Amino acid sequence: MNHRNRITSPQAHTLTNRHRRRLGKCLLWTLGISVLLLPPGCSDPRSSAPPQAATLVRSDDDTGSQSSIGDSRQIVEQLKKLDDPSQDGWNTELFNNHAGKQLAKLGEILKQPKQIGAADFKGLLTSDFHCSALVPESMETLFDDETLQAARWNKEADPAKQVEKRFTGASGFGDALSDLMKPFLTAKKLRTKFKIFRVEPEGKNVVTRQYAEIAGFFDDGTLELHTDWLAEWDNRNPDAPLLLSLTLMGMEQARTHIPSGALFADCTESILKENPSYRDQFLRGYMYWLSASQQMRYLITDNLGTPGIALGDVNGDGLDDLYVCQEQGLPNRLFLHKQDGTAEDVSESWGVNWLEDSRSALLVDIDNDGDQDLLVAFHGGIVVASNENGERFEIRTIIPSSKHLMSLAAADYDNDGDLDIYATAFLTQWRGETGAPIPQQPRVYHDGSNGGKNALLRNDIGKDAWQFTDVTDEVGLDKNNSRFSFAVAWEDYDNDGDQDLYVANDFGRDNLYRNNKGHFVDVSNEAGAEDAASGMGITWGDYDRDGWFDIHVSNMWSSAGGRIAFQPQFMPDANRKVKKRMQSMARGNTLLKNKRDGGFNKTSADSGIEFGRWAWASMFADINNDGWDDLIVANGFLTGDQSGDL
Amino acid sequence: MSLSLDHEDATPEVRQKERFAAFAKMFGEGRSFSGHERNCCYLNPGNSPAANGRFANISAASGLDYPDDARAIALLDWDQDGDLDVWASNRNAPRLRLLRNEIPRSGNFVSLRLVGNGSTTNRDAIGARVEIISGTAGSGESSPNIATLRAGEGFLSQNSKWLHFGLGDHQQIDRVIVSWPGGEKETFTGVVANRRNRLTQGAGAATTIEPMNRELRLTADSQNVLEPSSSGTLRLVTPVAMPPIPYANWNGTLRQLDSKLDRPTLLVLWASWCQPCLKELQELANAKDRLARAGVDVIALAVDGIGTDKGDPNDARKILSKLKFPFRSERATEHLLEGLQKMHDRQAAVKRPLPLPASILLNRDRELTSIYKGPLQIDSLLADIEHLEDTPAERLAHASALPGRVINHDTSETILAIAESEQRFKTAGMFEKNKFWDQAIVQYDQIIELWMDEVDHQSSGIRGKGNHTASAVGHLQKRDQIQSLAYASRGQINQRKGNTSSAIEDFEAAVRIKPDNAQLYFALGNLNERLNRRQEAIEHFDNAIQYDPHYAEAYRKRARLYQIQGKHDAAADDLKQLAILRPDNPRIYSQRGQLLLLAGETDEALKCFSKALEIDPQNVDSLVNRGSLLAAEGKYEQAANDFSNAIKLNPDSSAAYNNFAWMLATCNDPDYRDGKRATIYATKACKLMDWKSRDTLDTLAAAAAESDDFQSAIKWQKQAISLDSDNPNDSLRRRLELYQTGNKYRMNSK
Repeated sequence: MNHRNRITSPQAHTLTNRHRRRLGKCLLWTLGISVLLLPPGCSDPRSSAPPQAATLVRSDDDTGSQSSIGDSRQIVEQLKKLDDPSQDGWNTELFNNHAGKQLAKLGEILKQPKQIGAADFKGLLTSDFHCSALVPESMETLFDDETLQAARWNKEADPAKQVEKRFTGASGFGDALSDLMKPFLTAKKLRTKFKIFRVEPEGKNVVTRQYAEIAGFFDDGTLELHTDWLAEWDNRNPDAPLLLSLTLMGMEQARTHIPSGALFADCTESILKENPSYRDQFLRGYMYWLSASQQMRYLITDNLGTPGIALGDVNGDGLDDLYVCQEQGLPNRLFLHKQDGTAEDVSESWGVNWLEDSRSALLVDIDNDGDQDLLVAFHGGIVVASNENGERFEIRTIIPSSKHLMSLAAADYDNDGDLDIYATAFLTQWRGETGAPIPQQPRVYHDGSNGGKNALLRNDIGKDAWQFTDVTDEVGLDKNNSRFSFAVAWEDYDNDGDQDLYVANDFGRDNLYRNNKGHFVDVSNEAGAEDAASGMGITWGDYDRDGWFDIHVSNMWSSAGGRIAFQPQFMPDANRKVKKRMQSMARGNTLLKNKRDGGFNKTSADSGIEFGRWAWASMFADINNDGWDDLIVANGFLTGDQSGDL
Repeated sequence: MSLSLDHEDATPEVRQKERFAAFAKMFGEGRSFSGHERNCCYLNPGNSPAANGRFANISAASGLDYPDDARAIALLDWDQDGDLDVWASNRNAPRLRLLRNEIPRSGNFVSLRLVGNGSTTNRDAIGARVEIISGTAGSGESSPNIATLRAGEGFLSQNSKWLHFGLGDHQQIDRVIVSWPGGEKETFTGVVANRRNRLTQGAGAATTIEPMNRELRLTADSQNVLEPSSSGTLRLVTPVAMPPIPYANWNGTLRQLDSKLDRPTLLVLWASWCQPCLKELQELANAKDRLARAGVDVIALAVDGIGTDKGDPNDARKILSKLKFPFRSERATEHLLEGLQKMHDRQAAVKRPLPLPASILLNRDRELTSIYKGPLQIDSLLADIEHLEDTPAERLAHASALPGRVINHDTSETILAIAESEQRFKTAGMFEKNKFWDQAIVQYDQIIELWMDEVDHQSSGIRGKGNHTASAVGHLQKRDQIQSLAYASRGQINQRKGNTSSAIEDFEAAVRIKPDNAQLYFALGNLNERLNRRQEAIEHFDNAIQYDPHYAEAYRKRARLYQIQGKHDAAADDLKQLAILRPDNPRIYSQRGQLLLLAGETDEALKCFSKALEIDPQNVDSLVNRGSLLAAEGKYEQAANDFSNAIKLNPDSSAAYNNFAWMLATCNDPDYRDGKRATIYATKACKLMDWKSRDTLDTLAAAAAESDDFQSAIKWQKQAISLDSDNPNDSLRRRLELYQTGNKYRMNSK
């Protein structure tokens, strides 16, 4: 998680009771010393002169000082400021709020494409407003089949010609917008959204860049436009900036022709509706359950929502079944996939409706006996259960852990024929060895290294015992292993026959560990795979089909971060590296293209996949069977339910 | 928690709490934070020259762009129609979605299930790399189509083990090359496109699976998310001790609920104007016999007239008598309402104002066990009462929002005990914060007790079952940590309350469990020092330093004890260590300087003071000490400068005034002597020392002499001598002789 808003500025060192007490003792001691200490030689050595030794004055306990945190304090303060648009020096954020409102008004006008001609642009435009054409003369086809067409304006091809037409005044703007919205005239429903991602003041005026997203829904499919505008604003009235000009910077569009309207349709209800647990448990959000359950710990991970899911054929009928993890106080669920496509909740009879705060699960044949066993990472450890004749699961062991486990991934790292488990931990345990509560906040936002330790658990299942051995340190995986790790995936990225490991970390650098015959080396830096950002998810895919696996890391795309982090006055004193890191924190998802020489190129910007919002899982998936891996990204942090409460 | 033995972490801990508070407040209020964000879908346009390696955003067209707080994504072909469907899970409702791929005529595909041999390759063949060679061989360059079978990726997600390949226009697969995880390569023939095929290691040929004739009952429809409910019950897994519970009787006299209750007790908050409240009171009255059998007391607390409430307590009272309400009734107070809200907010992640009616169930120890928000069901109340004496595991099951099971395993109990302990630490921390020391101690007692049982259980468990050694060891460590911390925390409170010997007992218990914890020895050192057991204290500091050679504070404390014992060399050694550990701490240099002065090494001392001032120019001690040394060397200008700065920085420094006055009264250079100023400063120093310091009176006498007021000089000097009992000093008397003969005192001339 990476959340600017969550960071608060470090408190000035305050005197706790304990400190005060100690202080009292200092003074006491001081007086003792002053009696003992004889004054310096102000007189002849035989006679002592009266000056007292100076009393030891109190100095604040230096024990709370944090020399290791380097520039984090500054960063944290900066981040805190970012949250408050009215904070001095960040007028651009305030501007963004006002300009955003203006754009939202424009969005409402666009939703009535038939009335654009008669639309009232008063209070939106200056009298001398002008704009380029908002639709390019032609676009190049990216993809075209019966169902889906995608096209993009190639700005580089002939920029002047494409948008040379110029519109002026309110009526001109109406014309330009009418052209833009022409394809949407017959839409049943329209959606518009603007997102300002750069703000640069230029004298009295302000220049912004923004994405506009227009989606129209028709009887026979969907049309979506993604366009990028350069806008100039007259900011003389800061509460309502006026548009001076608009220039088209980019456009991409996708059109489906499909009876269902979109490529995917939600069939959940028909699959699950026969199960009481579907209605009782899955039609309510986690906020609802949180208000009815005791907050067990101080930790944020308890509130994130961690409904991990795993697929596997647990009863050997050739159909993949679904295991769903649930948080504290809610039972995990096993849904058996039936012939008719529906699924039956059998968690009670299979003995796996565990109430513990669960995060992720794996269905794998962990004991090599030909069926799917179950592993679940929960708050307290990993429970390992064997599949008993495709009828139920039996707990064989619990691998205890005091860390806050997140994702699990299995692979045979030592090629000995059985599956080993890698478990990521976000936070470290609540209390350290000394028993003192451990701070769970990254000390350095852009390079957090006080998170939980991930573990590689070697499969030592024998005839008599289900045993796993923590081999993290001995195989070299304890390097850079205190990060806030959300996700992990194994892959042989260097095509040498063994499984390498990529770990996505929040608050800073990710880890790429190269497997060298069972010993791992952290090569993230030399391989160019550090991706210092807010890693939440990782998926591998050969998206360019060169025979070498590439990496997609879900991160956080923050328009606010982009607006601020790229301005010259952002962290003017910070060193370049730190600044760059901070900028990349907000840059969104990352695509790392395998260079086939052990290294990666960051191609995210060129690939157009950066904009992924607050991303969690991402997955390469060839959704249209054309042989090329597409990308799916799950987004969204917390949606409140202000209307309802317990 | 106010307890923080590990002071290095004190500041981040404060920050963490702050951050958490901000976070909790945010969603406690139901606010969104990067909420309503739509999922994204990007189309890979492949080798289209126009695309130039750039994906196309088809989020809306894909229909995957629900504005959910989505988390995990898992892929499979659920309906086995040859394309990938998506299971997604969300934080908000609906929490699950199966998104069926509706693309009617997509490209060709092949679906493969690998089977490893179970000896060199895991049976699932996870880690196997598969390469599809499709189309006609030699017809030009075709891009490889590869996939690896993975278990776990994305975020909290595991895809199907059926490997799905889109083949585009290719209807034929020439062969499939599998690189098994051990490195062995195997070529499979007979793989049929647009089918599911099983590839078994060593078979060389694929087995094609006939399509199942499934009559699917899948339909696309929106999910009907349930409306949030306005009532609910928060059952606590770990009961929580309540702070004092105030109320008022009908006359308005303030009272407190007893700290022990005869029976479990239900407190019902209600108001005369609240219809659901009246209904609830009626139901409780009707259930009088059942409640009596269950052994529960009920107290109705009217909130009428509290704060901004417009209700009239008299109305409330009338309603109760009209109802013939068979239970005790009182009035709530503003403090009670605030307190209950606070207790609720501490326990619930979602912190909304409590509705009316609201009730809480207390057990006999007056601990909070349930909070009923909104109307209460008598049946569920009775069920809750039955569960009051549950074990932690039973409580976890009963408190869960929906029925389920607790993981049943040897270690589960330990895991629950850990959770229970943490919960009690949390409650203790709340009490400590509010200075309810005794209540906090009760929590620590309970933790210690909880793990007493665990000790026996664990140790027998370990001997019996050798196969759980690794996990048992982990838990033993955890147990030790918790027990030791509970003792130490209790010790800290005892220390705070001045029960030094109890505190020592607690810390000794803690140290028996964790004999390698330097901080415990440090605490013991401090406590023994408090009892003037200096030798014991030194031994504890020895231990602290042995287990943590970087324990600066322990060196400092030990140095101080050595000084008191007159072991200046040992003290100097410790301070030297301290200076190494805390090179930036001016206090250490200042302290070393003073030790060096003792040893008569004035040059070295001067260096130390200067070093201290380099680090911190505002270190008053060092300014005064350096000033005195400089004055002794005749460098009066610099000395005066140091003294003036010291006085400016700390106008209450008697040493600064005194030493400055001494120089002004007795130095050899007439330009720097100033009897008047000396008298003012010396008087100030005397006042600051309450006229009880021999040294400042001695200075005042010298100042008077310098001002030619020998009468006063004699008077002050005599007073100084009268205070000079334990360590008689000849020079005082010699100076008295000087004044009695009308002479002034001078520092010796150079």
